[in-house]
Amino acid sequence: MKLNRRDFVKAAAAGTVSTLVSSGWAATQSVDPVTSVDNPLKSYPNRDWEEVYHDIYAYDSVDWTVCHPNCTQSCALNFYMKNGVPIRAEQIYHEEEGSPGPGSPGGYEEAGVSRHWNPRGCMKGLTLHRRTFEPSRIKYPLVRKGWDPEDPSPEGRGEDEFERVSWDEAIDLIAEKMANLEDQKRFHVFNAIKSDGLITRHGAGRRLASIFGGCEWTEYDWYADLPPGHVITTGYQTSDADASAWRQADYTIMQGKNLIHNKLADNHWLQETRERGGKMVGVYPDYSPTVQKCDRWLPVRPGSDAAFALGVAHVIIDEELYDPDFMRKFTSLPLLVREDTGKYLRAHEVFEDHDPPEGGTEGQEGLAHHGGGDDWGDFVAVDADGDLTAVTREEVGGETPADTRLDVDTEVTLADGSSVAVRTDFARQKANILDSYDPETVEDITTIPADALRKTAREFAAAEKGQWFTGEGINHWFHSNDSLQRTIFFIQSMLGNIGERGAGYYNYSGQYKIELLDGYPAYVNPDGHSAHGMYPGYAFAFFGGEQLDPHDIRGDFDRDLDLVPQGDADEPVMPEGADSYTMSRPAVLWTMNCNLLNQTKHQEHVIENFVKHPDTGNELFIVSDMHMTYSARHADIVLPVPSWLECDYPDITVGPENPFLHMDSGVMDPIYDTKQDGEICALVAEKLDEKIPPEERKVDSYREYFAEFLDDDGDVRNYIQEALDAGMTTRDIDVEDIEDGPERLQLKTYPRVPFYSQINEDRPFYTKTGRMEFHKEEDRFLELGRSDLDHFESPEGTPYGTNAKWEEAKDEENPLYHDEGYQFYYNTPHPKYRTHSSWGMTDWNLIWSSRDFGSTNADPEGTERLVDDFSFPTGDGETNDSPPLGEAFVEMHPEDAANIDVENGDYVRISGKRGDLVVRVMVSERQRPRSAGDMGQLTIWHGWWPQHFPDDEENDDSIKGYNVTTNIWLDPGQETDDLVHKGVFGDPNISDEVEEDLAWHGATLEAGYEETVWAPTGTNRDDLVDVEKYEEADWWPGDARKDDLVSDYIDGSLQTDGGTDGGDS
Amino acid sequence: MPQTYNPQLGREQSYPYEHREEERDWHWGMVINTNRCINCNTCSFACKSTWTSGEGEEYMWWMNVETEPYGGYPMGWDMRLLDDLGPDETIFEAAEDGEQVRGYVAEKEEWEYPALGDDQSHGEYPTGEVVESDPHEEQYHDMWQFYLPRLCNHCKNPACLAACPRQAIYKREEDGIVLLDQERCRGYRRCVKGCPYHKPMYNPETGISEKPVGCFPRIEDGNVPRCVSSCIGKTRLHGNINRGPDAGHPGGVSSAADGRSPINYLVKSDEKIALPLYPQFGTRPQVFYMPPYHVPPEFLTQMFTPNVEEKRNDWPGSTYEESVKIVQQRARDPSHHVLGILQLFGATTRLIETYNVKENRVKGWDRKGKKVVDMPIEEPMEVREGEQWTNQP
Ligand code: SF4
Ligand code: SF4
Repeated sequence: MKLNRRDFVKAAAAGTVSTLVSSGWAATQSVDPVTSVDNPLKSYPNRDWEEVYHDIYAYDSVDWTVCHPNCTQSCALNFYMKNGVPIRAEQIYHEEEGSPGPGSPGGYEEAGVSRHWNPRGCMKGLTLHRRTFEPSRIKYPLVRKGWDPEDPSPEGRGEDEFERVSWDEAIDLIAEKMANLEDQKRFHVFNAIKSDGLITRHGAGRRLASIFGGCEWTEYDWYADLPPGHVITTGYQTSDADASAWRQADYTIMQGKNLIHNKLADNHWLQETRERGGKMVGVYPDYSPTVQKCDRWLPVRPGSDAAFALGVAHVIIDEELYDPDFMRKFTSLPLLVREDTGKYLRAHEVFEDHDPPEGGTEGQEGLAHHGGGDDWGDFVAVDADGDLTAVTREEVGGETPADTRLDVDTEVTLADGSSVAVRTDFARQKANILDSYDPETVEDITTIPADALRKTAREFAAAEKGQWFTGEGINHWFHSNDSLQRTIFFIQSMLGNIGERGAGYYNYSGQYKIELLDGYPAYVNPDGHSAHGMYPGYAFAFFGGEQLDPHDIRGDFDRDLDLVPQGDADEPVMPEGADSYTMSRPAVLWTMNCNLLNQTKHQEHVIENFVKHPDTGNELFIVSDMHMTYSARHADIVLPVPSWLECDYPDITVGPENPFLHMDSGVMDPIYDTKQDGEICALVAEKLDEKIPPEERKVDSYREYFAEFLDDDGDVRNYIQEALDAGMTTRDIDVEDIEDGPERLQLKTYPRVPFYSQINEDRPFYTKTGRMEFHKEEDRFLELGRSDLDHFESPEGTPYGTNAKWEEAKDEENPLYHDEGYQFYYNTPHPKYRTHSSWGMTDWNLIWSSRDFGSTNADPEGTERLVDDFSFPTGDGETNDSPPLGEAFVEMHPEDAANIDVENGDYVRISGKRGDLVVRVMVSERQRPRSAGDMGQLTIWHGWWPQHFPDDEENDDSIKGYNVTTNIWLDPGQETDDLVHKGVFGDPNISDEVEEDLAWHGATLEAGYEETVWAPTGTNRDDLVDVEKYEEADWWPGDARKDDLVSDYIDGSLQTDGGTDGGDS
Repeated sequence: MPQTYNPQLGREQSYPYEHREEERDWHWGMVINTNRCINCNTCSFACKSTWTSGEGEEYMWWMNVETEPYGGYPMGWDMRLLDDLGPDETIFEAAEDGEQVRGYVAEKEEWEYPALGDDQSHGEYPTGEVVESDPHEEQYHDMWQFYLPRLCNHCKNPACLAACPRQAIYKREEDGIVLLDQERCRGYRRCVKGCPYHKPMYNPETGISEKPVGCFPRIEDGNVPRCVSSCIGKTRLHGNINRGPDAGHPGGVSSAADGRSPINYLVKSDEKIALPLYPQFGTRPQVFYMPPYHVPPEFLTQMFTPNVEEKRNDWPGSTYEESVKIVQQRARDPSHHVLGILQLFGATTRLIETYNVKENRVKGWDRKGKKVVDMPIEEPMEVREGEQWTNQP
């Protein structure tokens, strides 16, 4: 039986669907006589029954804690307890008298923020208690039956049964394996979202790796959240503002960021810009939910975003809408660049009496090359009289030589008498942009109409304060994360939109706020010990092999992986001294707070070549988690941890778009045999002391570093206080202060406004020139032709020539697209009702996540789902089952669906170069059809669990999930060892005392690799896929989009002329 | 049948029960600014976790958010009824013989998929074009969606109450909340059939019907309902819809502002900015929506006005479509006074009875005249002096 919505509505009216009605649903229709109530509109006699609802509402007590997944927001919530069990959660209203949580008056006011921040906490926070009780919870430690410390037999991972073991046994197995490692570096810890469980949760794993001498996988770079364009331009990791700055903007450009769904708790600040007269323009390939809030939507071809920004720059330059004064003061635009070498002209090259820097001007080998200083020589500009003038790194802002010329193209005579052609950085960008990115060309590239682009650019330039957002979508594209971001900074600095509340360029992807918690290293890197940073993208590339040749490391494993799509950069740049990105194979890999195998890109490769490869060097894979995730299913040892509601030890957390430091601790007793990460690490440390003789230890005693967890009189809050004391941003905060609610981090400004000091107090940016740099002189950029601002077509996700500028690409065809027929762009944006894969099995969240296919009554009569297995192994062949409340789906434009004879609810197979999957289709008008610009778009909200996908009966390789077709690319452009940037924890951030004489430029600068600051950002969005029909659906709730009744409804004419029964009854 | 004046329609209509002589001093009411709503459904989860997480209630979402035009819980609920009703015909006037109210029982399957159409939009992909809106230029998105939070309206002409043959549904004297007596109900489902908003729901486990309770245990304590206090979009304001310009100081406290409640201002002042959902059904719903300003007014006229040619009520403009357009403009560019009231949204869990708006400050008082909000419209910016702070971008 197949009904569309219209049929359904009609049929329901006529009663023909009665066969679908379950018997419990049918109730009596008889009316038995009853004492009448006179007029219930006016009064009602006996209202005692109302107690029923008072009883439902009643609770015994209220306790509070903090929800802090990788949505990055961190919200304090009150939990209402009945019989020791939380029955519901409510947001805390800080500043509220009588509010049971940490809300008493003085909360927000003492923290120096207003009640505009109320309330915080989304629907996920409100189902934390349901998540705590869901069937996927891991109840006790488990060991995989096929695993043996001597013979790990990795082939059985993911398939073998588990055996229940005691905590003692589990801890002993881990410590024994660690104690027997020949090289401590082969102990690896990976915990994602590092800012979310800093001390007593997964941060303890980092501490263990540090004192043990192991490796710690980096995450902010690898998960593609690190925005490299920020680092290239400003030398600073990420420059986001507090959300409360947003509503000050007069104009907002939202590019590819679905902010209304991935920053829920603080989103209202954005919505409020429009009430305050702000305008908002969206640039998206689809009608993203955020488009609804935009005054204008510019539909863009996926992957062409940089060209849009370059087009905007074109209009601003061409129509001279820029602010020359700002450009002179704060950017490299007035500095001269040599035409022959592409390097910035240095003062000692033209002025005889000007000393060259001691170590030379280049940084091939990083800062060491310069004797550790930050002297790269002085730079040269042309003054108002046309004379050359030296500009030092400190002569920025108000100290910039007056009236330097922006647009210079000339020859200069060098001190040695020779002459060389030079142009200012601005002249270079201007010539290229005027030449290549006029709005008409940009229309060809992006499909955005030229006149709409012009209008947007003019309005944006005219606005007093403009802010620009990008995010996970664009940041995950191979080229956009670099050229787009640099170009947005270019526009913002042409318009003076930096360093001011309501103006700026933000990214808000990932959890990097740890950088601002500058006391944290004191805890994770105690006494100067620190783990070796390890980039997982590299790690995965060679896990299955034996050799550590740089080419292999970078991704040529088995020669069939090409992780580096640019043939013209043959030589991988390896970090000097290999202190970070230490290459070592993880004999022991321990992941905490991270569903690594579900979320990793290029999943098939990772499973086959790492996890289950017979030659993998990985002998023990430990997963600590709350839930039996895909990753836990593949582990050798599974360790259950408590939910946030059950945590015994308090911990602290921060979030990138809000100013708060929160401390949480559980509200209920653990319901299973769980232990918090910190305690597990402490127990392992204690065991290591027993197993490793003192002379072989890296530290005197491992246990000592976890004593507060283990000693009878121990108090882990001491660790928290020590970390707070060690940081500039927290040193005035006491643990007691955060026990009753959040405090504000102590930063330069509230709200946090990136680069406030640079713009308002003449401080240099963290670059060689001390300015926002647009032209880059580092060799790798020059080599790749990426030293200036340009758009490049994707290495895979384009119908045109790959990896080339438009001029070249436009006449070429991507063979993958044209010959092999991969014509859809595969989009996996952040979901709303989950955070990544968290809450993936929580009932209400799953129902809503599944949209048209999420059903409250599990498998309703009449619907035959292909997805039926929601079971979780619990040991010895036993499983926990839960009803299949929903399933994954792919959104596809109706036109593209019709082309393969697919209707709403049917199943399709999506295949790419790297794998394939079967999934249900949701026909969706908001998706970009192929006809709009060659590439169609398929959207699967990410974070589904494999259980949410049906098996592919014709191709059962047992690996399924939304990540089987995605990739991990490494950009050689980001493998430079000489890019200058701010050291994450550089002075004066860590200091007991900040002295008056601390000059600003004493801040540590770094060059080359730095964990989560400058490293290849993993990219994964550039995938092309093909789609074919797999199976017709049996029944689904209906495809409303085809219905006449619906079309009258939408036109607003249903009642007036669409009505069929109008007025005759 | 008795006649009653319906100000939302600007005309007399029939309703089975006589109204009180005088309106209540205090009546439950709510304003929802759809332009702020982000469809997070936190309100829905808050409501469900508070009231309907028991057996037989699995499918019940007293509070739900629908993405218009494709969402619908139960599926197609409003289309069905609009299709059945003639122009200028309330559900009471269209009732069939032997019944008080025109309605239908939504079947089990229609309730199965609360997230149907969630986040979907309608329209042709704008190939080679852009999508743009500017209500001042009467320009709207050709491709569109918006989020419609849906809940019990605690109507002044409640259809559920009218439909119940046992008189088990009543309107509370003190606050106008419409309740279904759980002890008196026998599960005839006339309310389930009669409520045009489909908010009374039948519990197949207990065999009786249930309906939203307006969070009365919270209202009794002076707190706003869960769907309001949980709304992270700061989309909602709750309070006394009946408190007009002539009302005195709350609790007789002279330091507290007198006059209108903030929601009364948004709904009933000359600067009207919020409209009821489907007033043409004739139930006088008491939840009012600031309409989405980017959506074509034809659709909104059908949804938020009496939707007849002759304009009879006191809303701005000379036609209902004009009313919608004017209100859309006001929502896009609120006056300073309205902007001030918008700061009260989500500022406190306490019920705000009266308020005032100054240049950069807004205050609110509760029923007892106690000040419960006092906040700036714009937060001041704070800059730390000192060398040590300059290194924290
Ligand atoms: S998921 Fe994020 S936004 Fe939602 S309650 Fe938790 S921390 Fe807050
Ligand atoms: S909680 Fe508020 S913003 Fe979220 S869906 Fe409900 S009404 Fe909209």
